[in-house]
Amino acid sequence: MDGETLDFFTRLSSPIVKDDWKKSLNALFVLLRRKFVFDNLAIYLVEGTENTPEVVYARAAGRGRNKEAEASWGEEIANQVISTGKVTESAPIKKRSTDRTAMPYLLGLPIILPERRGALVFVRFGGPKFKPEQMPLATLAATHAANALEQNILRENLTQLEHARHRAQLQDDFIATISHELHTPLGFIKGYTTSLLRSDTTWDSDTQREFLAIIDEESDHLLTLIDHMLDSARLQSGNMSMDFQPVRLDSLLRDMAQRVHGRHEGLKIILNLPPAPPIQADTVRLSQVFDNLFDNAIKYAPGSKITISLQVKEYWRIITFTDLGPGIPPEHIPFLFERFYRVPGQFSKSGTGLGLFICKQIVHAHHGRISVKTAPGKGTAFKIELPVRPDKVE
Amino acid sequence: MATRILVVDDEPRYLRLLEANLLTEKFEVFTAVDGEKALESFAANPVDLVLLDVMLPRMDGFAVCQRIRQFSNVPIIMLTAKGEEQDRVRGLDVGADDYLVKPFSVMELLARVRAVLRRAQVTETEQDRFLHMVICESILPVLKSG
Repeated sequence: MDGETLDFFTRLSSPIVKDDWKKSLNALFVLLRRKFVFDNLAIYLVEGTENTPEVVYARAAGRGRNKEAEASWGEEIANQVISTGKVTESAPIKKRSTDRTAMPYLLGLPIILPERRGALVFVRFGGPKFKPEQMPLATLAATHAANALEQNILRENLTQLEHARHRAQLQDDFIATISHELHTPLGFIKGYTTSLLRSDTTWDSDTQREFLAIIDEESDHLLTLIDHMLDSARLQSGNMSMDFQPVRLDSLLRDMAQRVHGRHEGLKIILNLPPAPPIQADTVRLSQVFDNLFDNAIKYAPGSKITISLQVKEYWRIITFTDLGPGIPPEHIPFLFERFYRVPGQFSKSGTGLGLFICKQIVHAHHGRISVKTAPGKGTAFKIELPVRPDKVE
Repeated sequence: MATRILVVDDEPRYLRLLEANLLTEKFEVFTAVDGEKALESFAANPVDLVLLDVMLPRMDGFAVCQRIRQFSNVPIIMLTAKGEEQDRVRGLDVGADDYLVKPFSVMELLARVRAVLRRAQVTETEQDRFLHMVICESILPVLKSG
């Protein structure tokens, strides 16, 4: 092997270490084509016990470039390579044609991966035939391609494992949180009930009413928690149907703000709600979303005013809930709408990690979007975009 | 003098529940809403019993219990939302005299408070007797020889 070839082989091996396997393969085949001519190439893989090979990578370099997407020209030889595990060549039956693409010269090389078999297939439309001295280079390319693919499989496995671990962690945290959350109202109900049941003491009527009011509120709280859990389970399994009816968002939001204000004296709510023609939505579910955003603002931005604005566009409505609270640290933003996720350090704040997940699922069921903008120390803004006709959105 | 009890819980509704019931028993009640405030209150006001929640902001109940034990033998009853054995064992190991798992019946809570106070009293009386004996034994020979 001369120095130039050796150098070429070395350079051919370098792209494999790229993070993105497709980029690795692109670089590999661009380099390869300087010494090894081909029009198209495709990599086929068969997973486990399946029989039909799937094209995982295709590249068109020369003639027949427009046929890049269609890699059926190599399917037959790929099947052959995969079943025999041997380098296979095929020449066109028709040796003369005005259409070069009707005269494919094919070279198929086996690709061996853990739990997968495959083939790298090169095509030269109209020749020339693949020469024996070109085989080592083609084999090297196949080995490199296999390495890049294997790296990718390993990387994917790793990502999947990390996701699974993350989900398991969230699940564990959730069970701890939910058991604490369910115990708290039950503890009050049990405690105040047994206080009233004490036979060794008497309570004046004011205290009795006070205790009964607490029991009443805590039973409601318990009910809300259970409803949330059931909703979240239904939404997770996609079993919640939406009942779309014409809804006027401006009046719905105004009514809800009034109710929230009634429950929280001294809370400042600023409404910026221009009259808006009705949209198709599920009032009950949307109210749940807005309720949740009110609750969050009251809970996590205590003392702050809440601004609610509605923007009316031709096909969309944009609703924003803005508070001037402490904001959310940026590292938590990507997980905020995940099921069971809770921003750490909110020890004394009750919550299940289900609220925003439920919001997201309901907004998605309306074919809308929900997002958050926040700045530490400045506040948080939740934005909900809802289509006027959810049935018309792709 | 009335028996004094420090109640530590971060939930105002638990504080109210415990305080209201303890007051009917003629106890004097102090309250604290987190671990640090509990230690501050304990340092400022000597009490005969501490009712201590485990899940507290700033410093949890186990840590508070450990700190109190460094300088005091005051009876401590831990209140825990977790019924797991390891939590109960840990509570007792860090020096709690008893524990109660939430949700609890107020009748049971008051019974445990009375029981722990009774035991503390017995121990105190025994200590007094022992001290008395020690003093007597050390004095008697002096008297005899004199």
